Amino acid sequence: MKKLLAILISVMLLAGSCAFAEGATGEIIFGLTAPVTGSQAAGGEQAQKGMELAIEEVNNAGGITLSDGTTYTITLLVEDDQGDSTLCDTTVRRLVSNGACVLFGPYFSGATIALDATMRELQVPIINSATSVQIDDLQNPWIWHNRCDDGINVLALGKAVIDDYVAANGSTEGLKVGIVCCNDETGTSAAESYQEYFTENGIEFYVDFHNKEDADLTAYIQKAIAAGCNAWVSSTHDIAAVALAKAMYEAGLRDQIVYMNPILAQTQVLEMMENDWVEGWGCVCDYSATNDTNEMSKAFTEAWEAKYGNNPTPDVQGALYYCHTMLAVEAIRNADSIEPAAIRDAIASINGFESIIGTVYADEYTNLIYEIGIAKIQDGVPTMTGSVSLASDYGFGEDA
Amino acid sequence: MSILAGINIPQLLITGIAMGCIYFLVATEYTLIFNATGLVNFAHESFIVLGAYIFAGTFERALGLSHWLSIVLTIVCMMAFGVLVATIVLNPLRNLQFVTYAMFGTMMLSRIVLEIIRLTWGTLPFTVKGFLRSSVNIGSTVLSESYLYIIGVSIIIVVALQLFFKKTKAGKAMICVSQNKDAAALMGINVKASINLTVALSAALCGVIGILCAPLYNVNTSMVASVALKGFCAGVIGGFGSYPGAIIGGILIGLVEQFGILFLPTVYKDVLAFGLMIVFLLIRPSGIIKAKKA
Amino acid sequence: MNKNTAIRKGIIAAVATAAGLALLIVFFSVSNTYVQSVMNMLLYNIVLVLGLNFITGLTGQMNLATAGMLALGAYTYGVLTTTGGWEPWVALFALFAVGLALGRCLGFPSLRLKGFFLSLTTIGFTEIVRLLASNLADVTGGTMGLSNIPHLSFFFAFADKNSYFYLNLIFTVILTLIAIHIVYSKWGRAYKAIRDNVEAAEADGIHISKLKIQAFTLASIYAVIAGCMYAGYNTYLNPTGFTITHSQNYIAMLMLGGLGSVPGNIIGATLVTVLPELLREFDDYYWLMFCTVCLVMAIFVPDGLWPLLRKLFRKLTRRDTRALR
Repeated sequence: MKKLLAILISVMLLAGSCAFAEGATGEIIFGLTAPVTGSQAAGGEQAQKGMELAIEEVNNAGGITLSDGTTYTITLLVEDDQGDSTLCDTTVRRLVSNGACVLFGPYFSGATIALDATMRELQVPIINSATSVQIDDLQNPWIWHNRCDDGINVLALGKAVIDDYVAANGSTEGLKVGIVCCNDETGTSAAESYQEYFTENGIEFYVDFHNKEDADLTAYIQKAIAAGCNAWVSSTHDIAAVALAKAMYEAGLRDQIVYMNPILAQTQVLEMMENDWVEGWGCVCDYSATNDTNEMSKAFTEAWEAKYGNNPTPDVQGALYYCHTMLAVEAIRNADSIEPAAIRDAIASINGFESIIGTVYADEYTNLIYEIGIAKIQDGVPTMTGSVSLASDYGFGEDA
Repeated sequence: MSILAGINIPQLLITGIAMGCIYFLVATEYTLIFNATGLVNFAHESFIVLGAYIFAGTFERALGLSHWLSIVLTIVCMMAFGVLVATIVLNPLRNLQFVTYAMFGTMMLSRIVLEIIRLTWGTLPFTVKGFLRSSVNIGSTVLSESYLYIIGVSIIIVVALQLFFKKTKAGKAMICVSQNKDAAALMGINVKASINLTVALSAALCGVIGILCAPLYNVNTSMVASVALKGFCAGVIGGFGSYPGAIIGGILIGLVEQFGILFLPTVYKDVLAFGLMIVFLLIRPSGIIKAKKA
Repeated sequence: MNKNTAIRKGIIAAVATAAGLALLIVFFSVSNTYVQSVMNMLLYNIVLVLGLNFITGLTGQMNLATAGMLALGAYTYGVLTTTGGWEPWVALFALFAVGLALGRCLGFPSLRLKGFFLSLTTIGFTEIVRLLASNLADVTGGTMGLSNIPHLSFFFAFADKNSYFYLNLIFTVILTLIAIHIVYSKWGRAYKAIRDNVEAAEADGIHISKLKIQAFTLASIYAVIAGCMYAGYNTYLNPTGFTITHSQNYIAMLMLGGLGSVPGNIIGATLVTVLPELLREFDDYYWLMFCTVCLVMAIFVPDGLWPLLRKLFRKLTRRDTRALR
């Protein structure tokens, strides 16, 4: 008998886990998998808030009406993956079981790559802001990243470093670039692309990696200085970016040519640095809350502040997930269907959709966008210095 | 040696010693609890983070108090928190049958505190701008203000703890409790109160570490994850339960880390501390200075 | 005689629980891919906890190396079958060798170190494995991860994800039966003696060091097999799944279910795997609630749920018989 009790309990637990809700008619479910708890929760919060804002706007404007006359409102389901790629598999499956027809997230490139087989199996499109070039190599028809990948960022930043050095010294004579990247998927894939780019252009370089959580990079920078670096590129994460800026400042490296991945432009990262540390540093900047030259971006910032106030201030992830949501809505309208496969095909044929971060052109791979802004930090504020459209400048995307 | 050419040695020395002092402070903070209760507080990381959040999140950012007032209030809050934790968690755990249970209990405590922090202060990392962030140049060496403060505070704490244990009644009572709880109780020492005081002291020390780490690591829930583990390494290498051992162990790790990565890739920095600890555990488990056990 | 029946009961209970689980799993996995993925997670978690039970549950040695052991198993399988080009089932044999060697390596420190010091060594081990997995990019794929790992297959069956699940189930049942056999045997009692009183155990002629190494070896073999199940099911590996936090979760499974008993292990693994999934409804607060429940249990029910359930049931049945009288 007592064994029966034990069995009963396990039965109840299992049965409970299987209870799930069916999507009602007239309702479209968007699913987001992101870190809601744990140490990466800041990014997840931005993603969720960005999506909620976009969904509220769409629903308030009457939702999505398809040609058969049904009007759909969007419901957002959020699942917490704690930034863990193993959990992502579970959360994504749960979202699809609960009726999600478009998925958003996960936050990290590593987790996105981990979902390769799962997405092919589930056959639901997923949109995110991952930037690893490995994702393109998967050629997975269901995974779309609505943000320039590291390969494209590197082309732009590598060129900016060389241009800045030539402007100051007349030629590339003596230029040695320190590639100081984080050892995670973002950093390693960027470092690879940088090495390729500088080798192609005959520029000397030095490569060294650091751990994502490392907050003391003094010896690391000393090593790079001893190697003779006089210009820097980096692709890293928030805490390490601050540590890098601090270590470089304390090592006496002022007025250097430094270019970094978009993390530098995030408000909370700049707020952790003293202004002197990063004066004149450049970075990729898809969105900045302080940028008011772009009308769409300005409207987004205002809407965000009206809804959430300044806690938190919107950062690039918030803006990106807002764009991802709008893109999915556009795709559903174009597809005139809420079937995942139809939505996927609509995403794949998007051409010239305007969003905060630029104009979206889908290609046969997984890239959606070929436009990046470059900003320089002045007095702790990212100031846009220019934008590079790889679509028009390099002929990417448009003919796809 | 060619590998040292072009490397700013004094800079690495100062950084190494300052980091070592942090490890030493961490080792001291959990050694206090270990000596008083026989428990190893796996939750100490969360105590340090809590200290940093109370200081930077509440007193500095939300209330905008002056640095000194914030520091004092943080220490007071942390002591109260220490008494609370000692009463509702550590004391019951101390009496459990197996050490394993108590370790598990403190691990869960750590997660609870970190989750409360996340729900209270939010997820965004932040810092106190301008707090211990300036630096002094001596020749080509830059002395960061925070490193100087870390070293200074560590020296003050070493001296203060010595005085406290040698000169005050409460301090002597703590030593008695750590040596033999039954005998201490028979001599009229209130063991429970003494343990509460020790945990409060340890929590206050965690608060100080949190404040000192805020300008270095910024304030976020995983700010001292590696520091907390390396504090354990420092204790083991120096001699577990021994305060002088903690100083030596801490500074040794600090220096080995800074100079070690000149020879190894930087990403293996943490391997150095753990590797060193495992070597010590296998070859000399009592550490450099063996703790006196009465 | 009494003891024998108790043992038999334990065995039956465990088998019944396992079989009940198995049936349910089969039933639900057919229909829902999410449930199926949770169930797969549950299966390798059960194997891990059964292994951990030999060290922490029976012998009483705190072991936070579980994530590291799992990582070694998973990566060995992953690297051998992708870069190495080995047949998956051949790689399985290599895993046994890894498990044996790993058990020796980890068991050796346990002869000299106790309690906290041992747990620190195991933390160090896990961290070092994780750092190596992240940074030896040529071998492990680094933080980018290792993808396209083949499913474990024996020439014919289990080639796809759905049927692979049944393979995992078979593994789990076999390993559970072996665990029952060991836990309720002379070995199991000797392990418990080490936990409860080392001196007395030694005086009774129990070869402490041999048994400790044996316990670690068993745990390692269980962990590397779980690693193989993990890698084979996910077909992708990266180092984020093998942190100290994961090791702590396995300890939580062990503690909640009950140290030393196989049904307890299964209950614990089920609770820790499934409960957070159920508590997801509480959104922001689920992790806090879950940890609080764990802490409260550590203080008030340190022996875990299984002994509690047994006691409760005994009381109920006694009252029944009294009422009948």
